[in-house]
Amino acid sequence: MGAVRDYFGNIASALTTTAKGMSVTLHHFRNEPPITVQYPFERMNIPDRYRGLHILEQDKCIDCHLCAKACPVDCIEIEAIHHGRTLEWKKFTIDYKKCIFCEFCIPPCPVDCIHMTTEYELATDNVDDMTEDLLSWTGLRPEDQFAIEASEAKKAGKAAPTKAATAAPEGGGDDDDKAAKIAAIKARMAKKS
Amino acid sequence: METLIGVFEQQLGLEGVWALSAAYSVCIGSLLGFITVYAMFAIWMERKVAAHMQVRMGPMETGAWHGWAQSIADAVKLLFKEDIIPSQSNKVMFWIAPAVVFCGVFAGFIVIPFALGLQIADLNLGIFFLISIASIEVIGVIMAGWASNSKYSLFGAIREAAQVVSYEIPTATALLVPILVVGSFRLDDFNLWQEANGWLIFHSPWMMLAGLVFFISSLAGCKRAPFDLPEAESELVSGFHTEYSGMRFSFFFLEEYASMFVASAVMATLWFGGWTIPFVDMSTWTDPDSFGLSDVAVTSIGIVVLLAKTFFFIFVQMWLRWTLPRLRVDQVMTLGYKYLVPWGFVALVMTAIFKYYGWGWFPN
Amino acid sequence: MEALEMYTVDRTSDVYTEELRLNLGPQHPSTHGVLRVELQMDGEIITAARSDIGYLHRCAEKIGENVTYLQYTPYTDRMDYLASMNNNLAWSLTVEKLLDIEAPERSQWIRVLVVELNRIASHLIAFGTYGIDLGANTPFFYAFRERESIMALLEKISGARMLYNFIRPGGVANDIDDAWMDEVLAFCDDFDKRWDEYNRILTNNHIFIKRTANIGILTKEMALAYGCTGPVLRASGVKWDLRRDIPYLKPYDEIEFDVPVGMGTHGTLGDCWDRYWVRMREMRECTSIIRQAIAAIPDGVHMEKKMERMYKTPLTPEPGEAYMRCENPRGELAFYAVSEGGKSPIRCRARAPSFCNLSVLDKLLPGTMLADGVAVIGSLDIVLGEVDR
Repeated sequence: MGAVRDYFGNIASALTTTAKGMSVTLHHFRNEPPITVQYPFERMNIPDRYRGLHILEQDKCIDCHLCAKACPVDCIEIEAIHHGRTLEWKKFTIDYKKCIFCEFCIPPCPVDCIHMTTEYELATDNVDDMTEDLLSWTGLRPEDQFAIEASEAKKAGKAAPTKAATAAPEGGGDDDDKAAKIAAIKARMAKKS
Repeated sequence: METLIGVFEQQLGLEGVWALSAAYSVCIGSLLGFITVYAMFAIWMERKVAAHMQVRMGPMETGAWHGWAQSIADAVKLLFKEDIIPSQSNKVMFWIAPAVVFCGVFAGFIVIPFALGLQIADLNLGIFFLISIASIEVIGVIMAGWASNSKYSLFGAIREAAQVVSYEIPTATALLVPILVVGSFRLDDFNLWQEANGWLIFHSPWMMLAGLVFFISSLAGCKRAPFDLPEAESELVSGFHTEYSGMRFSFFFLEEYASMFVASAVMATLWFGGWTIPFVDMSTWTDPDSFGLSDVAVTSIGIVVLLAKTFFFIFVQMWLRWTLPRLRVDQVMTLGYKYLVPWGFVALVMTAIFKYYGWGWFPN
Repeated sequence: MEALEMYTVDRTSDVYTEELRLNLGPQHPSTHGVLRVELQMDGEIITAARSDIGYLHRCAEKIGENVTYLQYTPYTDRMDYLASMNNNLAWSLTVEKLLDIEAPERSQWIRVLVVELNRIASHLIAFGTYGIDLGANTPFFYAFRERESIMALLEKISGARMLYNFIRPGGVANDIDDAWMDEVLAFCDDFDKRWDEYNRILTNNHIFIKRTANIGILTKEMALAYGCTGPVLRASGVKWDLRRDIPYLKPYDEIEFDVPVGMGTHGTLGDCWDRYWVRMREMRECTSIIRQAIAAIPDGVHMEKKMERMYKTPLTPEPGEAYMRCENPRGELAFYAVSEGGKSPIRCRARAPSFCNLSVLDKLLPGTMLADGVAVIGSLDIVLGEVDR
């Protein structure tokens, strides 16, 4: 009799469990709203702590290389020439091909000048774009340039140069944008602690 | 068809073979157009149904409103794709396999009565023709699987052969049950009978059983989940059409959806009254006394009624697909031979007894 | 290749059959990554199998010998990428053992919380992909919906969605607040309801039971002999769970929880269905652990102040060695590190649970059908990132 019971049991169980499963899918079909986020038009909420692309407060940075040393994948490259305490910036790049967004570059910073934003869009059609320069300007700032030239001239015993700085700073167009972002990050950090 | 030949002979003055070929061209052209449009809609519908069952949205971008043009975009893409033929394949068979597969299903459309008098070939042995012509598809699938010269394709083809051949038996057995009651193989007879007497599915519990058996075995015949073993994605990558791409692949796709339509339309016609509405004689609607509708309007109503029923069964097929896991190949055989075939015969014998004694929920 | 010699076929007769060699993977929908299994098939039946691994080898262990102790934490994320928190935990505990320190009390409770959340997420993937392996696509999306909630929760505290790098030697990266814990509780309540739904759609489905019961039976002896751990071992009837038997975090001592073992409900003990069902029940245990942890979490610091020095100056443990094992969603993950007093370990090894669990695959496959082979691979729930490291 076991076989017969199995036979009819199979039929009953197959039909009932199929019906149960179909009720679940029908319930979802009719009642459950889609959870899809239509990405370019809608975005998910990014939490405050999100570890996204980096941002640098260049005027604070002292070129100590602690962030580069902390990086497990060696993706940060920093170059600057020290004129006493003023810095002539060559580059401060993060290679996002390598970066693993582990956040280890943030805590070592002694002057708290590198932060992570909530931006995450890295897609590009050019591999070279993946290496991002965090600097707002390269070289010296005009006032620094002027001060250095003045001090050098003083050392050489000549008269202070009268003409304005020759090397105009490059970049800096997105300074306002950047300042706003840094302010936002600071507000976020303050809320966190 | 005959009407069409008459039209061509009388109105356009074409003679004999010319009228015949003109009529054929019109029929085939319109049918091809219908299948293409239907398949595009069904694919879009499948994606939408699946998406909403899975708390997703499905295509949303192409064509602004809920991605309605997605299938058209896909078709255009498939048309323009490079036609890749594996270098080690049997090229001739690889070429013609999609055509063979498609022909089998395409021929099935010929006998489906879409509305009163709207049927390409009004065959006496319509159902018989349907059963036999549907088997051509298997040959094409085996050709595709063998010609691809890929082990996965071969597995898919062998599975398909075993499955479809096995499920012909319960399909045919279940189809015999309504035939027994109505006493005809002609598909339109079923419509007329049910117009007069009500849907056959309510004839007796055995008729319902036969309907269930037919539905399950037609799922297997269409290679729909949970019987999608020939293309079992998680096992055989893509089964018999693993090596196909572009237009050839889309023919297999078209075939799958077309056979879904045929199976659902047969289900709707034989058990659920086809294009008719029970106890309503639609042919009288053309009378000025009742509604005074034109012939075209009545035909359109018939088409809409049939399509509504057909799409309901297509929806159920999709619903099942997105609910159930896939069966294993031996379980498919077990289900076919141990469950569906015996129950199909039970339904057949019991209906014969019912008919002999005149039992059933409505007399015949 | 020795195991897979074609058996001799009598080709003298007109009609003969021969066995077919099928390459399952490394690019195949259901090998869960880049596993390659060489199958010898007699029709649909597998007669011999040999798994071939190494397609995802990234020298993860060797890298550990070249970076500092702290810098290795994000690399552990990438081993079993579905259970990053658990990997972080195992490595952090190893480093803590080398340093001979103990994480603050509160951080231990936070660790339990996040680790159990991640365990649910990991088992949800196992559940969802198992459905896909067997042809049921829909449960996958339901599972991912809940996993999405977990990822959002963990993203809130760690800042990343999958590779958290949250648990670090000496504690955890950030503290958690009450609002977050309330969200976790809300998730747990919702999840328990969803869990019933999963059972309605997949677990109790007749086809699903028929596909998994009595398939790929792993006996107790074999599971022990091959060093299987985690749900794979427990499904064979061995009640062994490091959380219960060797509590590596203090809270596991105080929390009440059950260790689900296989019972052979629908077939034989240790079949695919048992392995699946153990994971399903473990998810429920996880929500219970999370609830208890949230109720009992003490105040305190999430990381010792003196440990925060490690970000600037690399940790230099005293010479010695440490081996620490943890109960991961897939089994026992253990790290072995030898220090000679330098900034980085001179030896760093991982015992990956997926790797040991995968070793039984060759023995489970022969005699099953191709479709069952997929079911067996799915039921072992391997992550190739961890197998190949």
